[in-house]
Amino acid sequence: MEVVEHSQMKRKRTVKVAAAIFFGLLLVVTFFSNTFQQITLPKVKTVTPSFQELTFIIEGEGTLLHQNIVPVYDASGWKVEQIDVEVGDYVEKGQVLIKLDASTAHNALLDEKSRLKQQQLRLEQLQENYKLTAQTGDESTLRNAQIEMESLKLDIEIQERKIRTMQEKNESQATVAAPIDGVVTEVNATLGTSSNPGQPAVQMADLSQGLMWELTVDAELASNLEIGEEVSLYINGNTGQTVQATLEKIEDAGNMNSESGGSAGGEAANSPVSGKQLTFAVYESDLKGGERVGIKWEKKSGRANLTIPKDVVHTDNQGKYVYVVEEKKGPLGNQFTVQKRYVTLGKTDASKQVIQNGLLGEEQVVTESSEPLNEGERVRW
Amino acid sequence: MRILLSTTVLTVMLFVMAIIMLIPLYFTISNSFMTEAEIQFNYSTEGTADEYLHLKWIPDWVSLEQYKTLLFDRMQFLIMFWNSVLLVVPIVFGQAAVAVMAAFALSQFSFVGRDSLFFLYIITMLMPFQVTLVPNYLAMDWLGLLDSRLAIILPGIFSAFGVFLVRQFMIGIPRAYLEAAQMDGAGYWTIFTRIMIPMSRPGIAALTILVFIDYWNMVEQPLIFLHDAYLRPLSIYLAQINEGEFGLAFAAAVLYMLPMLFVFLYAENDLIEGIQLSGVKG
Repeated sequence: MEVVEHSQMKRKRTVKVAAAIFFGLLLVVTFFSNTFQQITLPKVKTVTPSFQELTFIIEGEGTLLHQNIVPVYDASGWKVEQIDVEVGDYVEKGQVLIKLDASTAHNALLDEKSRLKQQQLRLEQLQENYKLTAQTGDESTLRNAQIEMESLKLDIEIQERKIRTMQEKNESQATVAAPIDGVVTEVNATLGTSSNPGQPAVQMADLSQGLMWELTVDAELASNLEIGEEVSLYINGNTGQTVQATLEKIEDAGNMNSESGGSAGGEAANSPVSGKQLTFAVYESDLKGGERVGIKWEKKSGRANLTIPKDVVHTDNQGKYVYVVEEKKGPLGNQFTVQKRYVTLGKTDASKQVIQNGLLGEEQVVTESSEPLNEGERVRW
Repeated sequence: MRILLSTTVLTVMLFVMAIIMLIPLYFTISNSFMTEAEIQFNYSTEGTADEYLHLKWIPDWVSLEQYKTLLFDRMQFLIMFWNSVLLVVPIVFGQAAVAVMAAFALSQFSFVGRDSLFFLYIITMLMPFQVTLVPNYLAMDWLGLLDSRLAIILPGIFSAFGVFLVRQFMIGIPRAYLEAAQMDGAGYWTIFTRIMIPMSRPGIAALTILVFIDYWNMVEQPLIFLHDAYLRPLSIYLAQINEGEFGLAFAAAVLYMLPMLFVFLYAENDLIEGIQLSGVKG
């Protein structure tokens, strides 16, 4: 009887220990369950695609330029004696811009005049000689004297014409005058030296043609714009002063640099090849050109599309995809895994991306994850 | 000789029956050491010529994958396990306390209407859960206890079965003990705690085990009263095992079985004694 009781006691103790171990293990595992989940499962944040309009923001700053610049050349090769205008001066048509030193030309003219005089004196002398020869009456000598006189007369005519040309030239080239009404934008001439005939001595802007501003933006942004749209540009920083402008041209930026300092969406300035150059025309009389202008132009796409944040799209060799969280219901609660979903992309703006195909709008699209994700991986959400 | 022969035949028969009983248990345990993939493969009729499953006795690869997944990867399993514990432990202790006191009164005192009261208890006990389901539900709704553990614990504590079982056991205790104690000046509380409880230990143990097993395995009550998935016990999971994650079912079943096994092994002798003496068969 005692042996049986003893063996019973022993078994009870074993069962007690086993039960204690079992419940202890489960307690420990429960206590650390959150920690295990933290270790094993990446945490993700998600967003549901939403129907929204895209907002295209065209931003940039630059300098207002003149539409039409007229170069004024000085081909005389003479030294510059006086410069009458400065950059920014308003000049009328015909107004003297530069006076040239014509003294060399004047001396040359005087020389030519003296030569003419000499020729005329010589002609008089020949005429005297001819009269004397006519009295002596040698036929051939007379004939020679006549030819000599005729030749000299022709020389005198040539000389007279030369002097006349020189005079005209001296009069016209002594100054450089403005060909149009406008504003001086550049003065290249320097006092005391002659101007380079290949380079304009003065550049003038034709005010009647108005001002313009060029801005290079991302091609994507430009695709939403129409020629002829009116925008307002702000002038000289954010002083509140604005000016109306019209979008005149949209051209491929090509290898043009964004000289105007324009940039939009950050990328545009760095990749002008994919960009478009916008030309805005400004017809405002009290601007001279050269002002700093800028734009902050928000334009709605006008049609609501299914959009997701721009930076959640990934690429692999099969195309563009996003990760979506899929819920698997089970008796042990719901499990969440990430799945790739290939999508067809539409337009983008600075923050949003239109999805044309591949999502329905109810998915949970992963925006952030604590670790890099793989397809089918379980996540915490 | 005849006795020996009949004993041998009986032993063989019992052995065969024991084997038949143990086969599912063996499959549960051996399958719990298979990988999820192996289970999915074994329990698929695809590719078998006769549309029957060809179960394997021995795992291809003994793996603790199922246990690891359940314990470290599925918080819900642990939550459900502790939910079961939180439901069953109060019921077991509460019912034992209530039943022992009620049984004491019903077995040792004579008062008017005692037998009718006991008859009512038996009637209540004989009604299956499904019959009392709707009144139960309405009562719980009225008490505002739906979706709370109390909706299961309270009816569990005040169950008629415990009273019946312990009463049957206590009735076997001669009144002479009670009278002798009274002679020595013991009050009812002293008699109850010093005499009745120690003497009906096997009965109480049997009750504890039976109630524990009964409520550890309950499915209908939590399904009906608990809508919050975070309150539901493990028994529901095992009942829904076909809805997915089949590969984890066997390890879950083994883990589910263990507490009951511990309780049974710990109080096995008391249980047998209790059931025998109270004249109730489980």
